[in-house]
Amino acid sequence: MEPPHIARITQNPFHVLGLRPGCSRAELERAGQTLLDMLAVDMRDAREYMTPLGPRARTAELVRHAMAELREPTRRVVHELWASRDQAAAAPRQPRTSPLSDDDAERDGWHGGFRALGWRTP
Amino acid sequence: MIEAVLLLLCVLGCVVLTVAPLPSPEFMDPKSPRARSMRVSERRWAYTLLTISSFLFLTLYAYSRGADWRAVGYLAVMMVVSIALIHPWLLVRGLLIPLGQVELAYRLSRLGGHPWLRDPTGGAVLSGALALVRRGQHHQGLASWLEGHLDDGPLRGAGVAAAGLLAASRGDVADARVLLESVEALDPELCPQAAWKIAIDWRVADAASRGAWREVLQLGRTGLKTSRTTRLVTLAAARMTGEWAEDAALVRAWLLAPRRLGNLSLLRLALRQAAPSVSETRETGDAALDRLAVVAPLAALDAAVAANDGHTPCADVVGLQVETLAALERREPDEQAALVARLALAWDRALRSNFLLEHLSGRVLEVRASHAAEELRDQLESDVAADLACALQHHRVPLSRLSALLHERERPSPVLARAIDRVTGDLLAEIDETAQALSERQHRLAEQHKRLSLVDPDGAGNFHSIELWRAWLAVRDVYEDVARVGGEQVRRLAFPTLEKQLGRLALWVWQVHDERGFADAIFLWLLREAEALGNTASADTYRHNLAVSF
Repeated sequence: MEPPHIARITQNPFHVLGLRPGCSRAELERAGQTLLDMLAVDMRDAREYMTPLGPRARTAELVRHAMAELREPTRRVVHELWASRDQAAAAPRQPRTSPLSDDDAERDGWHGGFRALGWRTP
Repeated sequence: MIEAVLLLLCVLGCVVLTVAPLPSPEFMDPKSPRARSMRVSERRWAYTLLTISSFLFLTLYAYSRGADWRAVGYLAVMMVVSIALIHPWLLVRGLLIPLGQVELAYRLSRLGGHPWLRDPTGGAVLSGALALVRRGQHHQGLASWLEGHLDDGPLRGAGVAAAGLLAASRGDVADARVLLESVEALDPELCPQAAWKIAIDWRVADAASRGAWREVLQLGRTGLKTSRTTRLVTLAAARMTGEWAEDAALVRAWLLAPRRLGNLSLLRLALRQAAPSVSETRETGDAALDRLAVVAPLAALDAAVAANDGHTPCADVVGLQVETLAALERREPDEQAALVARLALAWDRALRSNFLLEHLSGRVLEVRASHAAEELRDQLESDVAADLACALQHHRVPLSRLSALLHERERPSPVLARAIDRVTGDLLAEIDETAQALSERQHRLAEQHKRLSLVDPDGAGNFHSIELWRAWLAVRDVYEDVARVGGEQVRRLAFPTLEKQLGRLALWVWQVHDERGFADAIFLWLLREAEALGNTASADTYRHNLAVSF
């Protein structure tokens, strides 16, 4: 369960359905039905979708909710504002980590620490 | 004759040591935990002295009567057995804990003695818990049995450490961390040094296994005398974080520490980490740019937003929000505040732009929406404020830093102001809920205690102090987190709410359950907080309570 401020970006109906904000109603219905059919037979391509914050799992429930949101004109206008034009362009750069970053520290953790010190690893 | 005089002197010394009044009865309540600990300690040392002097006397006497070395041997064995019964820790630590003999370790440690003079009940449970974590697998039955014995006496340092180790044994690492950290909250006079060391050892092992080397450094440099193993891990941590630590010093610490074979992997890991050179400590080009991107935008913001040539009015600012959300995950609190402020200012600009209103008006007409453009803009502003508040809460960004950043600018940020108000309200609600939950819990326990007392007048033994200790720690953590995020303004508003409940709790555990160590920990914390907030009346009250308890 993502926090609401993250979910607003990642669960934007346009991202869930893989559509651009300017799409027509027919495109919306077609894309939604196609995805539901693909999910029904558990096709790999439909199980994930790309968002500006990285890939997320797609479910039939999410697709139905996205379709319902975009069918309602007022909510669609608001969702359009939150949808990035180009998901790839909006994706954040991955900065280079410094030599002593937490990531490195995690990697260099002393995994046998508890056992070596006489404790059972919890 | 000389032997008899020597023995008599020793006996007299022991008697004097045992019955002598406390150093300063005017300043110390003879019923206080501190006085009781001192009394127990003195008695134990008197027994030890008596045993050794008896051995010396009997040895001299046996020699004077022409006895051979076997008699001395028997006497020596008797002396060792006597000392082991007075201070069973030697046997428990050397034999029973490594063998994982939980029950025996507990029962033998119940005899008291060094190092559990300040907390004999907790020390016995801690001995059992140490034996339990040495076993290959967790044994729930033994753990519950040990936990049950925690209620046999007042809660003190060794008891809290024991509860932490039991939590670690059953795999509840979060609970273990909280409890073992809380050993520091108790009066050092009520916490055996061995319990401190054990708590620090576990926390060091935990931090090292996570690779949190800076945390290891903090733990290892508290100023207390740490174990040899902790000294080795601290030195290795210094090396891992880029501090200067000689190879020879590391090897020496490794040689001095026990379990050299097990620690060899740590030594290798530390030695593999080369000492930082100038080129490595210099920031890389991209990192420097990333850093500038956080610090500079407040100054360069207007130009950047003015240059927005996107086709939809919010495309760039949504892009900025995405970048900000991703960046918040890996930034320090100060930088997080700058990032959120930058985003809020960008939203202010976008929301006030005519471009947005024109775009919304056009779209409302095209899709035949039921709301006006202005309404949609207001809804968007509300959503943005909610999102910013949620991000601030989620990342626990300090509000004081945000306010300082906003004051640096001439124009206020309505979006950020709304978000800050929302977060402040949420933080105060969090404190209210916490205080309420604590009050209800205490009330429940009091009712339960009253019922049990009617059935069994000695029902005070049914008081589960460790559960209440956990509740108090949770409340303290919530408050400290809220104070850190909300800053002084929220802290001043939140403290009186919590102070009332905690004060009641402390008085209740002290007066009804004679848990003075527990009460002191709360009073000490309240005193520090009252002093930090300049609340002299409250501070005087807590100072008085602590002095009474001393």
